[in-house]
Amino acid sequence: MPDESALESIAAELGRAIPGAILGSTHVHGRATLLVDPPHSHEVIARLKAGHGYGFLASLHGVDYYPEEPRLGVLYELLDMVNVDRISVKARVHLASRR
Amino acid sequence: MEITRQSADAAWAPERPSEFRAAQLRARDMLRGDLDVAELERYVEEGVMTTTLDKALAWARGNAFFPATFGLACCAIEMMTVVAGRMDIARFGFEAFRASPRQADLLILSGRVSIKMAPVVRRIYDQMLEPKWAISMGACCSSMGVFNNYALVPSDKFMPIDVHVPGCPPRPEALAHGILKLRDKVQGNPPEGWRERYGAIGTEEILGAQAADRAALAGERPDSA
Repeated sequence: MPDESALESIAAELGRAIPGAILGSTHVHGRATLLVDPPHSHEVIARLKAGHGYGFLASLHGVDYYPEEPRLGVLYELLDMVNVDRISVKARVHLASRR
Repeated sequence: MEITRQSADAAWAPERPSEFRAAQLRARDMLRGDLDVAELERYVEEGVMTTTLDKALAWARGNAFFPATFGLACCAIEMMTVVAGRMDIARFGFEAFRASPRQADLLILSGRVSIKMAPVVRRIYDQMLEPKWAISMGACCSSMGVFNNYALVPSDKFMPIDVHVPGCPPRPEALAHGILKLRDKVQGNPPEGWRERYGAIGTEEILGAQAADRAALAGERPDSA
């Protein structure tokens, strides 16, 4: 799991590479999470895979945050199998934009 | 009973959060109208339990293990018996064995672990999501047992173990006892990450390019790192 500063540097690097993709980052209970703009989520994950080694999608799940808005969340739990390092990517989507 | 199908958002979640709050208030008013003060107090005493979210989560987690479908040797036969009719470990929410580390949160090492097998076991354990737990079942994977020779490795040497179950092989009752011990442990709400649980922060393996980087920072040759 990247620590706070490593997560910030990953977020900054991704933000530079894909403008507007990174909306924020949180490091809570030892879990590093990148909050991404939904249209850019696959691009961000591809970059995390190619550039940072997070090649194993350990889990993909959805969360209903009702009554918060945006209501739905999509979480990708990624794992770097070489360094056994984990990172989460979260995309929040409105109910209207679900498919 | 008639079953009507409708979309999830229309069924229980109104369009606006204020409507959800209004529904809650309506339910409370209905209860207030039906019961007077003394009866209402008794109803609350008998029917309402307060707890913390952490405790409720730990209770649920301890009663819903998803073990990996993973057997190593003869102990695995005893492990299979645990889910059969006599022991029926499903009583403790345990019967859903998962064939993917993505969905499992418990690894039962049931049998001897050879040196060739150890990296595979560790890889499966690393692929599981935290919080995750491990039971070392039987003498072989705890202390190499009767096969105590150059080819075997005890499980403590390559991964963290939460519960050791002794025996050769342990009877299903012994494994069930170990599972209940693990349940008690999980319900005690220990730290979720195994490195926090066992004071192993800072013992992360340094591999590949990262090792070379660290060695360069320390002014050493990469091969001496």
